[in-house]
Amino acid sequence: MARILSYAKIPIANAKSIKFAEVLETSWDTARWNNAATEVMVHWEGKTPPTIQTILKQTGGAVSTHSVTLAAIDSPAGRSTWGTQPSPPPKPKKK
Amino acid sequence: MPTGIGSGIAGQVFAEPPGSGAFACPTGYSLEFDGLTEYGQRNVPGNGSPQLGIVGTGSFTMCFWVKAPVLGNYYLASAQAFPNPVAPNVNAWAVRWLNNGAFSLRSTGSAVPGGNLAALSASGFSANTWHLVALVYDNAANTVLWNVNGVQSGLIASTVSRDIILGSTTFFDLGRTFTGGYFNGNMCHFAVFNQALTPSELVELRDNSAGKCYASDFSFSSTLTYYLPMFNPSGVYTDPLTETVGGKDITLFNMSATNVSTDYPPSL
Repeated sequence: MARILSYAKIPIANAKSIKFAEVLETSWDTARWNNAATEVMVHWEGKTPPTIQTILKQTGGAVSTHSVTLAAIDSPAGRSTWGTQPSPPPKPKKK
Repeated sequence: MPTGIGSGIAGQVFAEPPGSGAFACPTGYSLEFDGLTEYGQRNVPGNGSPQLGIVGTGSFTMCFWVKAPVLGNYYLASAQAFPNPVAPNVNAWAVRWLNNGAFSLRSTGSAVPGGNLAALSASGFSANTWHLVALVYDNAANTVLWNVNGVQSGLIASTVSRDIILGSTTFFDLGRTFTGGYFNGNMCHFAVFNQALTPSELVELRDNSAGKCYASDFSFSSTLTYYLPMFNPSGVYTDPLTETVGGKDITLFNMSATNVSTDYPPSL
């Protein structure tokens, strides 16, 4: 059965709030970051996880489908923003 | 378990009909990659990737089944040494499926012209179709070629100047490379044999509807040196992904049990 995956891009300032148990990303260090290492991509199957909903409300970000995300990343603009695979940024320390 | 010629009853021998499941390794699953975030990686100094050929210079066949919903610039598998070794030890190699539907292998690390291993298949291997893809290196004939679906594809490249040693590298990535190139599609039965399989032997792998096991049921099984069944035959998700010959298991990142797909090659 085909998977129905959803994706969101989270700014680094909010990324520390991600509960990795709620998304398919294994960890901060193994998730995919944009070229500037300022934004991380997370994905999940089914309902949007609560912490992701909260983060998206804060950031004004949106959930997108697999096909839309693929097309965006594969566009010239997407490749220039996400086309390389930088080292993950250091995780912000808890205050 | 049958020996491969059929089931004997009271001295009679019957041919097994296709799909009869006469052997212990029927195929029913594949590993699905999303093309965006999902990949596998093994990171073990000097023991991450499969060694290609005995001592990294012998004949070998690297083969796998693959299918993609759309064509792209995909890195199916890539190996990288760390730190950079001295030539002619391999620095890196990668198997790619290109936008034009061709398959490509390139190694780096040789210091002499023609010293690396490189091969390019014909183009046009289409999306939405399973392909059995094999890179065949013959160190006696000094040739390397692609065979897709049991048929030679592209030109036979001469390897008379080859000096690269394709030993096991520290990093081995499945479904991407260090710099991206995420694979969008399905893969199963990633294998390396320490011999140059013939087209007819690759046809045996292609038409394995009886569920023969790579490790035991083919005339060339004894040269299997690396094998990722990719959840076959059980369909049970495991992380790390099990490498059944040498234990070079691969950690799966950003994946879950939903990456076990019931899409598999129709000839199996």
